[in-house]
Amino acid sequence: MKKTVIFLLILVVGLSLLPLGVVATNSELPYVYDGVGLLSELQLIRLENRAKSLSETYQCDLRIIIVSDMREYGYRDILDLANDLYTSYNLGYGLEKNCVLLTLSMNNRDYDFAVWGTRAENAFTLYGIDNILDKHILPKLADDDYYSAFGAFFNRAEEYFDMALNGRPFDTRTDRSNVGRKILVSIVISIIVSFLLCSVWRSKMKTASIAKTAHNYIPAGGFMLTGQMDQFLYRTTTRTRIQSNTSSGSGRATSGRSGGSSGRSGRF
Amino acid sequence: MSSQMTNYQCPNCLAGLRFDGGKGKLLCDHCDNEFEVELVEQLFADKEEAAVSAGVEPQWDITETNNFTDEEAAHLRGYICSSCAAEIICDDTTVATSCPYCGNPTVIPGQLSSQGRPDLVIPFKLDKKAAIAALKNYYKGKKFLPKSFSDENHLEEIKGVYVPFWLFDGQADADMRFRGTTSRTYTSGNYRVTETSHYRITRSANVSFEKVPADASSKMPDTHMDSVEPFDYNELKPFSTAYLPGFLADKYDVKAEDCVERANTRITNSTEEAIANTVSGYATLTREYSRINLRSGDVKYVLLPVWMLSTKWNNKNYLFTMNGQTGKLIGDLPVDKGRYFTWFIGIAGGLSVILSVISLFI
Repeated sequence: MKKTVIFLLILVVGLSLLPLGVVATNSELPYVYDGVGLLSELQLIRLENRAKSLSETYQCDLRIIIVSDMREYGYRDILDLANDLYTSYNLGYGLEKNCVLLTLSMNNRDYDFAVWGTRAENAFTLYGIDNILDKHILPKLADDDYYSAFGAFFNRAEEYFDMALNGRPFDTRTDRSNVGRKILVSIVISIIVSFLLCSVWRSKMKTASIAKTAHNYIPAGGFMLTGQMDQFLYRTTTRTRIQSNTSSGSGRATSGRSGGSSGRSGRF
Repeated sequence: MSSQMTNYQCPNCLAGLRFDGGKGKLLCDHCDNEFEVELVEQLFADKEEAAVSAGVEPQWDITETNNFTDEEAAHLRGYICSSCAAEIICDDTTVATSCPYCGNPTVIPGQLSSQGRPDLVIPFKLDKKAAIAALKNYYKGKKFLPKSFSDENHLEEIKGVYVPFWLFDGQADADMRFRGTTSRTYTSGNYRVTETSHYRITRSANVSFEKVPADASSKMPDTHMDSVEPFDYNELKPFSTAYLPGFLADKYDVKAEDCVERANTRITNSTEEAIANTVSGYATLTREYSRINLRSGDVKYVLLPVWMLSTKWNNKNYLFTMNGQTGKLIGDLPVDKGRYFTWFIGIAGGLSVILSVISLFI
C-alpha cells in the first residue's frame, strides 16, 4: 500500500508535466504515459488519440505506461507493477474492466503485456499475444523504435478486435501468415509418407535375399539361459535450469496476474 | 562315367512312371494306374536281380567324340535311354532328368554313389499347375510391375528340381555383455534433474539348432534357395529314387565343408539376437562383448523340392523359385519407373491437399 501511495505521488507529478490536451480520459492516467521521454510531443499526441479512439470503438482500454525504473517505486517484478497500475487506477472499460496494458520499465528494459476482461481476452488469444509481441512490438522495442512499436500495437489490436467481432479471433487457425507454413509442412509430411509407402511396395517386388539368421531352426526348448546378471554400476545426474518467464521473455505467464488476466512478461 | 540309368516302368503297360507329389504315388499316364512307391521299388529290384541272374547286361553305349575337350568330357556323362534307346548327354551332377526324345522320366542312380546318395528327401507336394498359379498370384497387387511384363511375358521354362542341401545340426555356447541405462527426470526447485543409472548386463546361454539348411548346388542362386525356406522337416523321408521320376535332380557339387561358414554365420546371428531379446527394461542398450563357441553336430545330405520358373522380358531373364512343399514363391520383379513416380506423386499430391485442408481448420 505504501509503495502504491509513493507511486501515485510520482505519477501525479509526472502527469502535471504532460500537455493538457493529452490528459483527456475518464481515468486518472492518459492512454499513453511516457515517463521517460521516449516519444516526441507530436508522437505522444498521435498515439494518445489513436488509443482513445480504439478504446472507445471497441469498449476496451488500450494503454501504454513507460517508467524509467520500476525499482524506484519498490517493484522487483514488472508483473506486480502492471497489476497494481490496473487495480489502483481502476483501469479498464465497462463493468468487466476490459483492458490491454503494455508496461515498460526502461532501466532493465522490462516489459509486461497484460489482458483483462472477457472482451479483451476474446480478441487477444494466447497465440495472438505471442504473435503481437514477437513479430510486431519486441523487435521494434529492441531497435529503440518506440513510436513504430506502439503504432504496431494499436494497429494489430484493431485487427484483433475486428476479427473477434467477426467470430474468428486471431489464433493458429485464422493467422493467415501460418497458411504457407502449414501447407509446406503438409507437403513435406506427404512426401515422406509417399516415399515410405512406395518403398514398402517396392520391397515386395524384391524378395530374394540371403538368409542372415536361423531362428526357424531352434527347436522347442532349444534355448537355455545358463546365466544372467544385471549389475548396477553408478548413477549420473544432470541439472538443467528451468528458464523463468520473466528472465527469458519467451514464456507465457498467467499465474500471479490479478483478475484472471493473461499475458506475458520479459525483457526486450 | 556312370552308365546305369533307370526308368520306373508301369507293371501293367511298361510305360514310364512319374512321381505325383499330391498323391505321394507313382502314376502311369498311359493306363492311369497308381502304384505305391514301396511296391514299385520292390518290383524294380526283382527285375534287376532277374536280369543279372540271366546274364543280361544292360544295353548301353557311350560315344565320346573329339569335339569335347578333356576338361569338358570330365564333367559330362552319356546314357542310353532304356525306353527309346536314344543317347542322352548331361553333366556329372544330374541325378534325374527326362529323355528329350521320348520324354520318359529317367533316374541315373549310378550318380548316387555311396558318397553321393542323399540321406533324406522331401517329396514334391505341389505340381506344375500350382507353381504357375502361384506365379500369377505373385504378380497381383504389385503396383509398380510393368503391365507388359504380366501381359506379354510367357514362361520360358518351368522345372521341378530336387535341390541338394546340407542340413547342419549344432549348438552354440554364448557369453554376452551389454551396457544399459535407465533414466528418470524430475523437477527440483528451478532445475530439471535427470538421473541416469548405468548397468552392466551379462548373459550366458546354450542354443541348439537343428537342420540349418545350406544349398549344395553351385547352379542354384543362394538368395533364391535361402528365401524359399522354411521346409517342413516332418515330411522328410528316407531317400528313394522312386521319388525322382518326373523331376530333375542334381547331386551336390558344393561340399559340406564349404557350406559350414554360411550355416555358422546364421547360427551366430540368431544366438546373439535370442540372447539380446532376454534383456529388457533399459532405455539404451549397447553390446560390449560377445563370445560364441560353436559345436558342430550331424550333417545330413538331403534333396528338397523346388520349382524353378524362368521368364524373359526386354531381353532380360527373370527367375522365380517356389518351395515345392509349402508353395512359398519368391523372385525379383522389374519396376516400371513411370508407374513408380506416378504413384509417388499421386500419393504425395493427394495427401498434401487433404493435410493442407485439415491443417487450416486445426
